[in-house]
Amino acid sequence: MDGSEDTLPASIARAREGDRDAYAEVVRAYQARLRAQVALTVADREAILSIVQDAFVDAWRGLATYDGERPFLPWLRAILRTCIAKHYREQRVQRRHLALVDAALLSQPCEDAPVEDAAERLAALRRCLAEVPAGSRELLSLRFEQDWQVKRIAEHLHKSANAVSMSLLRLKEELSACAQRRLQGRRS
Amino acid sequence: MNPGADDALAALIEGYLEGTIDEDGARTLAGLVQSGGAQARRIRDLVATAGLISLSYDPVTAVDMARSVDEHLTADAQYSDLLRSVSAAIVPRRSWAKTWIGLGALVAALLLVLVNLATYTIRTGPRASAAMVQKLEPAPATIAVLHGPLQPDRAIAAGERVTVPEGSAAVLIIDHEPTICTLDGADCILMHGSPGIILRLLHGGISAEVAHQPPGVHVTISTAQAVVTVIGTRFIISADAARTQLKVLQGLVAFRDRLGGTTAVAAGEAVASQALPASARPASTTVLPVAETWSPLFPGGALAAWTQQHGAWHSEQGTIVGEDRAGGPARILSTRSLGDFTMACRMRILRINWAEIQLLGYNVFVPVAPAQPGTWQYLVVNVRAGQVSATCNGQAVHVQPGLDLGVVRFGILSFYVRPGGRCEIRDAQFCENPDLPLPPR
Repeated sequence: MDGSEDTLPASIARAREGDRDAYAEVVRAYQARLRAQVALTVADREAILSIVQDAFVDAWRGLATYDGERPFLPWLRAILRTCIAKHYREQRVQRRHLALVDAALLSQPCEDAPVEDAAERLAALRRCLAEVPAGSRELLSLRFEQDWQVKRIAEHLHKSANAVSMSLLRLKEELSACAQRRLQGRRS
Repeated sequence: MNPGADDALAALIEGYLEGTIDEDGARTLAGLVQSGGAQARRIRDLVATAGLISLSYDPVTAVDMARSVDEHLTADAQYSDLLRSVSAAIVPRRSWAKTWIGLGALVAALLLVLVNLATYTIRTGPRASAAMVQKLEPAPATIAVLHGPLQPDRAIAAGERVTVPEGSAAVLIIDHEPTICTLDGADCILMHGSPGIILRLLHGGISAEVAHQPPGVHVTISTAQAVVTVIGTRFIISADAARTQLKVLQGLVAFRDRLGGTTAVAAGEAVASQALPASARPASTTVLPVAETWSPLFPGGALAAWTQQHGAWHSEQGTIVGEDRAGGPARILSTRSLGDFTMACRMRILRINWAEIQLLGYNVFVPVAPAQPGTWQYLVVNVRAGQVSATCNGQAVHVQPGLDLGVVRFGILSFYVRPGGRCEIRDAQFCENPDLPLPPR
């Protein structure tokens, strides 16, 4: 969590009166959780940032409609869901047949999980990533940090594209299982 | 678990994530997701994990997001102000028309109203700047006119730097096309592209309204972190030393993050570049100078006109050296996009088998893979209209696709050293005048 929860109600109240500095504090407090939440259904890093930024911009414009007596996060999360849906809708024409999968994933989204889960899962996954052996770490870096396509990675590593895809699938499953173990250990 | 089925599933998921899946594959994957059960949960979990891993590599900090949201809100407000000022400017014409109606010239008034309504529609629509452009059409020797509310119109020539103080705004009208940019506290340089215009935004914000350009002609706005290629649209872009943000209001814009990939940004969408690490931010706004004659790529043997993205780069008695002592890759990026140019240099790589010269914003790669690592190679790279050719010690080099975005005519130049390697560059020169012969070796 990247903000002081104690001061948030005051910051939100000041933001509702038009104080942009106070709103910046609100953004700092919630942005990590919102980004993790979007990442559950949108894998593209730039799209994640774009959606979260849109959500904060929309929330600022709609602050007058926020009932200060109610919790802020569910209200913000509702705006985020609208922005995710809007993202998919606007991408539909451009993504053509990819939109079939987008729609299927969005129909029963993982994002129904409590918002805190996504942030905790991200934190757990980061710790698991630090333990990945060097060879696998290079593969993950090429794919997810440098955004190389599988074909290019395969040429670079002198492997078949299928072998690279399978390695990535196994790595993702191992990392997901590792994150789940860490979360369960923490909760128990 | 069926290994064959896993193979197919792995390929489908990676294809979906990178956007290369075909329609049959997409239908299959969508069907699996919709079928429910364990397989659907597995796919959802794999996609979610991919998103979280991707996010784990994101260097953006909480402060960055707060600032980008704040700048976005500021840019929105400034664009609204611009629209209000344009609307205000056309009110007197409507009143003038109404005066004629008041005189009772019914037929003439009807005609005038019809004409005036058409004018009004054009001026308040996407081409709102058309009338201002006609009024302020620049002289042929100039490529733009700067129009400030408190100053006379000023012609801007290619290569000229335009600085609008923070807190104030001016309108830049480019090349007698209906292309209008509002500079909000912006510091920028205007350059000729081939063909088109390049606006290098060093700092500040630009709200732009760009009419459809002729085929192959683009308006390009480049910053330290991103390159925005505009085909005909309305958008807001802002940049500082760390980050560039783009909000598209109408149309479609290609946004190329210098640290990442290219994104097509559609109307209503916003995108922000990855933040340059503090060590990689330019200490000044020095850009690689325009080279009409053969000029050094590293002026004075220094790196002021370059951005260090990965590893550590320095000069050793005129030799540029790049490596990451922690075993990672090393990459250095030019601070300016280049179009047509020729470069020549001597290059030596150590501890690894190959390095790359990356051109046109990572779109094309020239591999440097000597038979004997550690020996000096003489490289010549030629870029013309997006096509790249290269020689190494006089032998043709097979260039390779990088981002492979089709024909890209401008982009940054970078030197990439693969993990664990060291690269040394000497006598690096470049020239943007295609008529000059190569310099002596």
